[in-house]
Amino acid sequence: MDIREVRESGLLEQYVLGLLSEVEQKQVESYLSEYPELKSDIFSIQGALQKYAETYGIQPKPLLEGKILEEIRSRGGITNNSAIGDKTKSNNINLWSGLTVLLGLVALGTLWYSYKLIDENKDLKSTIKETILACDSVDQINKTYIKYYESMLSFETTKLDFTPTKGYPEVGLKFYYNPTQKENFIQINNLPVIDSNHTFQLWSLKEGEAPIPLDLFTGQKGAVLPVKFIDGTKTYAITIEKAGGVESPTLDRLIGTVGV
Amino acid sequence: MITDKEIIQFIKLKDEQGLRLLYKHYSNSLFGISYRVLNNEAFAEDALQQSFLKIWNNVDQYDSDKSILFTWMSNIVRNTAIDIRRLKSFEKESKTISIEPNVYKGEVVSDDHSKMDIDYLLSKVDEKYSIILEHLYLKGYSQSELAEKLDLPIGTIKTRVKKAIDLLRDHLRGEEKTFLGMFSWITLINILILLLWIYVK
Repeated sequence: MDIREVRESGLLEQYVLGLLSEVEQKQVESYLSEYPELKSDIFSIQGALQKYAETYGIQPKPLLEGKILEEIRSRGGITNNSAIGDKTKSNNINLWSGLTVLLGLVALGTLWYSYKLIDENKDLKSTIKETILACDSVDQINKTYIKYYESMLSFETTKLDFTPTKGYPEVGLKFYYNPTQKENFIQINNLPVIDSNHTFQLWSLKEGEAPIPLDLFTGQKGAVLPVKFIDGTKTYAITIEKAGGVESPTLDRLIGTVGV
Repeated sequence: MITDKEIIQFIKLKDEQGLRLLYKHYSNSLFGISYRVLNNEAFAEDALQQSFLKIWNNVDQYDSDKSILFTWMSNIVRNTAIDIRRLKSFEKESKTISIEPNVYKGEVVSDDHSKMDIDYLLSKVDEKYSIILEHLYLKGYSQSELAEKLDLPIGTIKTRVKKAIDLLRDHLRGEEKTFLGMFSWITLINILILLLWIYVK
């Protein structure tokens, strides 16, 4: 088939939908190698189907996100949390460590060259490449946090203080509220000490409606967390709940509120 | 705006932020697929949970040269949901029930005009194309299952798959052209204002 026939055959659409047999899939892959410009057709079909899926998206229950996070945490899959202060520090340490390792590896490489150990030199090059990739990754993360800060410092953002409730005078939390961009952030100054079976849970309160459960979080001093924005919210509140979150707030464990 | 590349970087570093971003950007679309395959809220949640775990653990297998991130993830969700459907042995019942997302207590998400246009385009203009995509892409039917259900030759199903996707792509291309057209007019007006200002000065 020439490229026009491939495009008109409908094979590309069925390939993206996963409807082809193994033989047919290999056939399409050989067309993709033969006509690299077909790759843009594949991405265009995938993009169209993504739009279609977005059209028919369904919002899952708010607590599902917490359940998924808990599940992955419980399997030890998460190696760090979102505490931005610690992150920046550790990123800097990682960066310097990375550079030090890089220099060390370069020195080693020179030594290996002097002994003409060409095979091992190949391994070294690969390690350097991986280190550079790791540095790039750290750089990407720093850029994301810079975006958070830019949003928090925007003129459209209002900085508010959570008002602690009677039983929790030590609570110190800043709330960054941006109704234009529909973004909220919480900055942690001080929180009550809780054990690993409990978590902090954010709530959206609207007049005449039941509280809407939002993000679950734990965090250290200085941490900045992006949290959900809900249209029409009058007050955001934080309670202490059992790990994994709950559907209705435990009012005697309400630690603070902020009106928006 | 966070890019897919940045989200992938977070997940490769096993940073929780990656998971939160992934959920924020894609949970509605992926849950829509999971729910339509299973037609059962609890099973659909289970499928989404298992899928996120697979995405988290197998992110190194994602090849951005072969597909966009959503395609890779939607395949994981659909296959996971189909496996659960087989396991729970309720395939026959779920396929005979017409799924109407509006009756589901979760919200159907359609928050911009282009999405609503797609909905209109496929469901109102020509339902015979809409039904094909809905069953093959969202509900996880095979072509032969759908041919049997609709009592149509498999060749007709294949032709309509292509036509439905062509319609979607044409529609999206049309939107881009309209946007670019508007952009060029705005640019032209700005240049004219600038020239006028220079002339007056």
